[in-house]
Amino acid sequence: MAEEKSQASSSKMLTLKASDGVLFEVELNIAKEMKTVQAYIDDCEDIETIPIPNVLGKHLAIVIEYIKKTNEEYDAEFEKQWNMDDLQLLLLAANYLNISGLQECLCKAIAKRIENKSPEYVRKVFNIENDHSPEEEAKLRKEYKWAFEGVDKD
Amino acid sequence: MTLPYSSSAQTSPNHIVKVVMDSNDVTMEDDTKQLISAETKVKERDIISTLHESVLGHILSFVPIIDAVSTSVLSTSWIDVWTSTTNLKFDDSLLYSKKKMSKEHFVNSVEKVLLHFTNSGIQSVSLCLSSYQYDASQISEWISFFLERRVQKLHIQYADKVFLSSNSLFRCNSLVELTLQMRCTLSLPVSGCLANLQKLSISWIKLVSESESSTNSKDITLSFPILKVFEVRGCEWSQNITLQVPLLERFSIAIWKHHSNESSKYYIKVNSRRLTDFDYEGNLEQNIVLCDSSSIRNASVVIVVDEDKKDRIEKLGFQAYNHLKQINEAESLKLLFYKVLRHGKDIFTNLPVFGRLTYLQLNEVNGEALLQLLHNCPILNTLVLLNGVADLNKDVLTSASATLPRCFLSSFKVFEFKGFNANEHDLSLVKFMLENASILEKMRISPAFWLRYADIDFEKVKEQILSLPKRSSFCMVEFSDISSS
Repeated sequence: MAEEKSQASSSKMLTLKASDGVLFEVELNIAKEMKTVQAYIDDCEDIETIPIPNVLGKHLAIVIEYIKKTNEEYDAEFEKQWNMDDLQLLLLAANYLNISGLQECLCKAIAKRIENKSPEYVRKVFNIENDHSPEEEAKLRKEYKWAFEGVDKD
Repeated sequence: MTLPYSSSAQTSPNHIVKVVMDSNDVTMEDDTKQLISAETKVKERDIISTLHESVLGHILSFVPIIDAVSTSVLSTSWIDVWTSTTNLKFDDSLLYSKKKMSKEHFVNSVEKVLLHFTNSGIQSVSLCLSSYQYDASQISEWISFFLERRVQKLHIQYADKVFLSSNSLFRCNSLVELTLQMRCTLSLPVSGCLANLQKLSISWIKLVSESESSTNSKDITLSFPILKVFEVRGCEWSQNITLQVPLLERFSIAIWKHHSNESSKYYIKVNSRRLTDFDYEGNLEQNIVLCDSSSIRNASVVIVVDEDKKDRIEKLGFQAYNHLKQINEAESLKLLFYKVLRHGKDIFTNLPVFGRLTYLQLNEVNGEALLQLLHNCPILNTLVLLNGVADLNKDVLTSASATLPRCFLSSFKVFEFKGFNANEHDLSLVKFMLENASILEKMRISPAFWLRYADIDFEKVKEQILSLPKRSSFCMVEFSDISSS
C-alpha cells in the first residue's frame, strides 16, 4: 500500500469538506482508500469538492493521516493516542467512509478497552441505556451465569 | 443528521481552513495538529449502537468470547451481538477479578459457548490452554468441533497430552492458517492435502505414519499447493516426508537436542521453486533436502552441538558443508554457533562459495574460519561479528596477508564489531581489516558489556585503534558508548 502512495501517477488533488466546514486537499490515491469517496468519484466524474457530512474536521484529519502512514508500528501506537469518545467517532467515520484497514484497527482498540470489564462499565463508557426490564436482565444473567462470574467489579 | 458532539477547536464552524496533505508530507502541518488536539465531547449519546450489528460483532471478536457473552445484558439491541462474532478466543489464563477461572468453570463456559455456535460458521479460533491439565478426549472433542465448523484460522496452544486425528484435520480444507503448539502425536496419512493452507506452524509435535506396519514406515507426501510459510519447531518425525509446496517462500525448522536421534534417520524434502527464506536450527544431523534452493536470498543457520564424541566431530565438517551448500545463493546469511567453539575449525574444513552473499553475520568464530569465510564470499559488503574472534594468531594473519580475500579489494565496505573484547585477537583483527580492506567505508566497534567492569582503559584502546594505518582513505571508525552495550 505504501508503494501505491509514493508512486502516485496521478497527482490530481481532491478536496474533501468535513461537517464543520474544514477543507482538506488530498491526493486522489489517498482519497480512494475511502471507498465511500471512491464511489462518489465514480458516480460524478468531474467533482472537485466532496462533502463528508458525518465527520468532523478533526476526525477527518486523523483518518487521512492514518491512510498516509499506516503500517504495523503505526497501528500499534495509533490506538493508544485517542480517548474512548474519539475512538468511537473515528470508528463511525471509518465505517461511513468505508476504510477497512482503519475499521479493523479501531475495532481492536475499542475491544482492548472493554475487555474484562463489567456490563455497567461498558454501558457508561458507551452511553448505552439499559432498556432491559429487570426480569429480562435477570433471565439473561441466569442463562449466561458462567460468563458473569468473576468479572471485574468496578 | 445533527451531531451530538461539539468541537472546541479554534476555528469556528464557518471559518474554512485549507489543509494541504499530499503524499510526500511526512510531518503534519501545524494547522492539522491544532485541529486534532481539539477536544471532542460526546454529549451522553449512545453512538456505538448506531453501528451495524456486524461492526459491533467485529469489535467483540477481539474480546475473549466468554467475556463477550456478558454484553448481552447491555441493552436489548445487544442481546445477540456476541453470537455474530466469527472469531472465538479462549484463554484459560485470563484473570477475571484478579483470579483465574477454575478448571471446571472454564470447561463449562467453553461448552456453553460451543453450544451456541453449533449451527454457525466460525472463521477463526484461538485456544490457549496453559493453566490446567485437561482430559485428553475433551480437548480432542473441541478441536474436532472447530474443524467441522470449516474454520479458516486455527491456533491451538496446549502443552499436555491430546490426540489429534489427522482425518478430521485433512478433511478441513477451509484452513488458511494453522498453528499447533501441542505436545501430541499426529499420525499422518501416506498422502495428505490441504488446498487452501497458506501458513503452517507446528511445534512439539511428533509426526508418525498412519500405516500400522512397524517394520517399514512408508514415505509420506503432504501437499499444500498454496502454502507460503512453513515453520517447524521442536518436532520429531519417524519416516521420510516430502512436502509438495510449489509456492512456499519461507521455510523454518528448529530441531532440539533430545529429538534429533530418531529424526536424523529420515529426510524432509521441500519441493518448492520459490523459496526465498530458509532458517535452520539444530545439530546438522538431519537431512533437510531443498529441491530447488536457487532462489533463496535470506538464510539463517544456527548450529547447536554439544557432544564431544570423536566420530561426531569428524562428520561435522561434512554435514556443515551439505547444509551450507544448499544456501550458497543467499544474499544475506546469519551463521551462528552455540557450544560448538571447541570444534570450530572442523566445521570449516570445506566451505561452498557464496557467490551472491553481501551480508554476513557471525557470533563465535575462530580466526582461521573467519578468513576462510571471507575468502569464500567474493562480493561481501557487510560483516557483522557479534562476539569477537577467538584464536587469531600471527601465522594465520601472515598467510592471510599474503593472499587477501577478493572482497577486500572490491566490495567490503562495512564492518560491525559487536561484543569487542579489547583483547589481543580482536585487536589483531581490527588492525588486519584496516590495513588491508581497500574500500572499507565504515567500521563500528561496540565494546562487550563486561568491559564496563573490567580494568581496561577503553579510551586508550580507542586512541590506539584510531591511530592504526588505514588502507582505505575514506574509512570512518566509530565507537559505541561503552555504557550502552
